[in-house]
Amino acid sequence: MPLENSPKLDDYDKVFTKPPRQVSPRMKQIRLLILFLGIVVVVLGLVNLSRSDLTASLRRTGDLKGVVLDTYGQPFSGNIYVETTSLKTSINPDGSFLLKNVPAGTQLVVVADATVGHEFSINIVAGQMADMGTVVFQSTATP
Amino acid sequence: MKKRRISGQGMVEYAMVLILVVIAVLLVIQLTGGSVSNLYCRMISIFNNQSCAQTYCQDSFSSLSGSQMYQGVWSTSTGQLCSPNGGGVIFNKCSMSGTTPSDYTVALNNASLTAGNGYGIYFRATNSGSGINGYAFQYDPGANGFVIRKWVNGAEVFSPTLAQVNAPAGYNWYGSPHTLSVKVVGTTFTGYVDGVAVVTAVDSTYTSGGTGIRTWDGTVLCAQGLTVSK
Repeated sequence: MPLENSPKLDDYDKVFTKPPRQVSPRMKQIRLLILFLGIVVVVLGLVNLSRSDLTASLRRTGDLKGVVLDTYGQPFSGNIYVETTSLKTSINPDGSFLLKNVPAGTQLVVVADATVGHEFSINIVAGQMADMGTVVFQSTATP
Repeated sequence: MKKRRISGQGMVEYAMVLILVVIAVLLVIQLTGGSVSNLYCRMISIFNNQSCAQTYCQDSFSSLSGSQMYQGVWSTSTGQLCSPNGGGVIFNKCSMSGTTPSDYTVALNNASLTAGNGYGIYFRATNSGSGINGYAFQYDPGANGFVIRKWVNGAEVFSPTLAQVNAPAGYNWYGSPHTLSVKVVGTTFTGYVDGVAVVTAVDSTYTSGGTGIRTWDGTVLCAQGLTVSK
């Protein structure tokens, strides 16, 4: 046979083509298990992330204003704190206050003098001014 | 006959399963850490018959070296810590150092109240200079009951009071020594008098912090030791 009529190497490759790989049932189970575990890990990771300080620091902020009076209707002299943050401000001589950059979400705000505090739950909306309204501060130990 | 190639699972798949299981377990422990630890401890204690109790801090009040006075002049004498006139605050140095875990039981042993409106145990307390943040469980004849309140920057939050339970009619507040303790687990705090639960509060504001004692309104108090344990 003349050399030019000899089969080419490519022809042999077509003859000996590997049969398609078939996945065994056990392999399918393992891959399903990997998929399931992957989903579990992602979900648990998201739950952990949602509980971390990172998400809190990524939250946006809003402002809070209000007026605090004593039981005689006079401006109250004291402080405003946002719990678990370092945010605080003194109440102005006219009883008003303004707190800027309060993390958005439900915040516990405390109106306090030197010894007694009263707590309020306020919803802060990012980019907006929340108004606490007028609060009457009871200085006595048992308001 | 044509042979079909069927590939089995390889080491890569097994390794992936193992890695994912480890990551999932770590994430679950991170979410439930304390309770898992307690569960292991209780399981092991079934076999070795030992208690899970572990003491984190102990002050016998033989001197003031284990304490940090914050308000008023406290004194020790014959193994007793006694309150100053007019009220005061003293912290347990060890538990305030930040080395104790979040959950613990703090007990003030053999505390005798002879006058005044009451005393309390601070827990999960911090004092960063802006005042005390944390909680206090109070033996409070002034309020005729047992009270748990939150503290924010040195202010005692009266509304809302986290929990208050009136004492039984005719309760003898004075003279007899009592052991006052608070069990702090997650967001649940239970106050005990002589081992009997008297008040429970739930709050999530503070997740860690140390312990201390407070008195007010002319209280005269002496106690024989403070223990912070598991």
